[in-house]
Amino acid sequence: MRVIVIGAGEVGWSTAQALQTDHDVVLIEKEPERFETLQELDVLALCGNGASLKTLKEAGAERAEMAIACTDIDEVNIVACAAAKQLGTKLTIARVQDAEYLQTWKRGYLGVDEMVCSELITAQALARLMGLREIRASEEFADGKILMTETIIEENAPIIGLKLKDAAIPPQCNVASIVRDGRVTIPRGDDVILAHDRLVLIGTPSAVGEFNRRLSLHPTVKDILIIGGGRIGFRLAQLLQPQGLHPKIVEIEEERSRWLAENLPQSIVFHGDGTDIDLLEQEGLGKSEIAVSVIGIDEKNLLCGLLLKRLGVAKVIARVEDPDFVAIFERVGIDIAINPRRLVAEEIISFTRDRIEKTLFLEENRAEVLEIEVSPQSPLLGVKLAQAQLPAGLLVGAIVRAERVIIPRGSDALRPRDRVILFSTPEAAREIERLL
Amino acid sequence: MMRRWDLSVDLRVAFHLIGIILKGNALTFLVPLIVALLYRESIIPFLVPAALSLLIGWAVEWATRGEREIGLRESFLVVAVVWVVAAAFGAMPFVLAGVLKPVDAYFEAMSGYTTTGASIITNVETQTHSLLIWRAFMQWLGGLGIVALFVAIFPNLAIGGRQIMEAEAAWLVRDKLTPRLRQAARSFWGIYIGLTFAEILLLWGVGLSLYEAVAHAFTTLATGGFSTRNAGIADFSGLVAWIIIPFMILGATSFTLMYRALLGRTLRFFAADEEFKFFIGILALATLVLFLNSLGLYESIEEALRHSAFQATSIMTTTGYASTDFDQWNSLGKFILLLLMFFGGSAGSTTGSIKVLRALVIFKLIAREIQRIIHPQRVIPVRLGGRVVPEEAIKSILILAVLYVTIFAFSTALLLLDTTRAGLQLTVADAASAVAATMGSVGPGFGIVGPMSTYADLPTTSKALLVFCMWIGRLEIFPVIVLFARSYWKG
Repeated sequence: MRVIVIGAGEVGWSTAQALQTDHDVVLIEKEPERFETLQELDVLALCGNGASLKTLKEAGAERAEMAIACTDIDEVNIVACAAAKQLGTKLTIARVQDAEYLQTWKRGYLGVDEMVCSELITAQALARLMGLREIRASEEFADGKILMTETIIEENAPIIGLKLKDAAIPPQCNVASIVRDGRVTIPRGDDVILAHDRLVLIGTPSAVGEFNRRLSLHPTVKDILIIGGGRIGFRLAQLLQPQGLHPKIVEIEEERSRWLAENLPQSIVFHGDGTDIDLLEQEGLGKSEIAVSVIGIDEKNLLCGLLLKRLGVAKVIARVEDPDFVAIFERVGIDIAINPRRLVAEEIISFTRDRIEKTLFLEENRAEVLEIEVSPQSPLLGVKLAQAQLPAGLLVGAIVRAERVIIPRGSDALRPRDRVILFSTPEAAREIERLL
Repeated sequence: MMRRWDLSVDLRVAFHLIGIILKGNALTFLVPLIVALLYRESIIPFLVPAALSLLIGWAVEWATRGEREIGLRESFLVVAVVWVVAAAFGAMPFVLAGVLKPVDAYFEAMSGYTTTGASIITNVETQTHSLLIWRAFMQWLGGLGIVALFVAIFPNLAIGGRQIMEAEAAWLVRDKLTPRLRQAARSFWGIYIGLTFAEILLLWGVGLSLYEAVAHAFTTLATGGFSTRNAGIADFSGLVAWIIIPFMILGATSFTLMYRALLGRTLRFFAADEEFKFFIGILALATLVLFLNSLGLYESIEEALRHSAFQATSIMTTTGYASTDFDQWNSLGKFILLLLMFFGGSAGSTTGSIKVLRALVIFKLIAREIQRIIHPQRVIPVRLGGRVVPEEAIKSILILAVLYVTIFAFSTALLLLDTTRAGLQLTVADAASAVAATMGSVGPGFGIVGPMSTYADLPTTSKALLVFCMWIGRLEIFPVIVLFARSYWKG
């Protein structure tokens, strides 16, 4: 199908790259300098204003299945979607940064079918990581009915030395994988949990949460520090406040810090620099349980993050805009590096998939979690999972059948229109996609 | 075109408005006039000022006619001058009736319009009904602000009205209950009149004469304090005191709050209002301390409680009624009352003084400063009822409070100086109470100006000083003090 991507920034680029193999992608970019670099992609590149009818016509908006507007200017994206819709594009997706626009817009309004808000997506992703110190990744599937977490087992955790089958795992929770020394294995009941293991759990949010608390040495998190009170920092605090948390925010701009203090009554706002050691020590911020550095400058986030880690913060999360830095950040000591643009690109790409709702890559792409709707033609229908010839390195983590969540055992079988959440190696993933 | 009012004060515009207001002012004399007719008393004391007010008002209006817009500076001038001029006309009946000398009469009238209740008349009970009703009616008119009254009535004032009302009562404009200012002003007058009728009926119902019920209802809701008896409320039964207490509290409650409660038909707004709760809290605390302090002083527990509650309410709401001679109380009791004189009621009520809203903000500011010392870089906004108080507003509140106390201190020193010169021996407490009671529009103080005596014995210069205190206190200092700035008049 024909997909028009407007804006070849980080988000547009990633989106186009992900779509180029399966779709005819037309990429519209206004800046001639950036336009030059598009030759690397297997797409039709157009130079022009994506919000103008002329350019959109040229891009073939009349017969396009989808238009994705992801320039850095929210208003341009909305106008571009409206224009494409008017020309006959079937589905329009606008990326916005300001969450205020989400309130202005309702599904289908303004010619925008879907709105993806980067600050909100990032803040939500961060908020999901705030539950426990030990959680290193957290993702929702099937509209929030399924939660997947990756949890690190700290030394002295009560569960160390137990076999999985003796660990009293709640029935609605599945241990999908154990990551040990960088190796991903799909566990059996006899496997023993060791310190520094990472457990990937899939199940209902309550069951996963319950088991995580059992794994943890610190069952609740109270002390959260946010460095940088920009849009993401503000949204994050806003999401944390209703959970009874009182996040501390350090903001460098005086005017902004006053605004934050006025608009976040449950938060504690400091005016200062995240790298000001005196401030961090005097206010005990270096003793926070979880710290998030979401300033707009990658290097500063790294610096703040490492400083906080050194001061004794148990878990440090940093925002990274440059995708090349993600791995570096995690290598030098930041516990989790979050790339807002990648999150947005993933969210946008999920709209282009027919049956695969969502894909999540773990452990530097050594494993992935997929959400797939079972096709009525699948040869696996009606076959008990224990008897099915499933590829090696694959685990059916959960089945969502008409709003009901099933954690499958060997005796369960798939039915048409089931949504399955799979944990798999990349090779097994290609195979199972075909089978389902 | 050069806009004159941007450079200096446009006197023509200001006096044009003052002229219109004076014409309206003439109508207010109808009330005592009718009373005089009913009681077959002389109508001359009221007919003359009414005619003069109408004539002078009309002449000034005519002399300054022409289309021009009113600016901010003119608004301050109008407000400041209207109160001074109104008091001049209001003083005439006392002079024409042969009761007071001109200066004393002016003191009495200013005390009336500013709802102070400080009096020169030594024997009230020998005065005519019409004169005492006039005295009470002046307070009732001054309660919500004279200018607000005329904005509510005259359609041709509404154009510049917002500016003027902002100068007289910023709260009314700021709250913006209704898009149209006049409508808001009318709603408040509606509540005011309704409450007045309710109190008249209740007081009449428990045995007061209709005349006395009206006179006291006028001065209760205005939180004024003039009475028709020399001994004030102490002359009536305990029940009367208990009836008056809630009406004084209502007079000291924000009219915006009452309006909301009335529209929503729920008392929830009172329970949710931080300022109201703070006001009631201080009142309850003061009552408790006074009650414990006065145990054994009165025959019964009920009497001790009644006098404590009544005096705390009367002084804090800046009414100034006396249900007992509180000048006989010990130093602690008097000191509590002196402190209460600085609080006043809610912003947007008929009370004077600094007002609890400002006190509340200042307390919160102190709490914030303590936090700031512990956490120097923490940003802590001051919140009131969930809403953030802008730093600008905090600053002006702080400045007003400091200015209030400074003027209080200077005036007290001047009063002591002047009375000593005249050979009077005032204690520090007496002088301080006289200034606090006039600036805060309370009325009686201690000692020579105590509840059972009057301000008559003070030298004329002291009376003039206290008239100034009433004026500047009632207008919340700024509209008056800007007039003393050179840059106000030039450039």
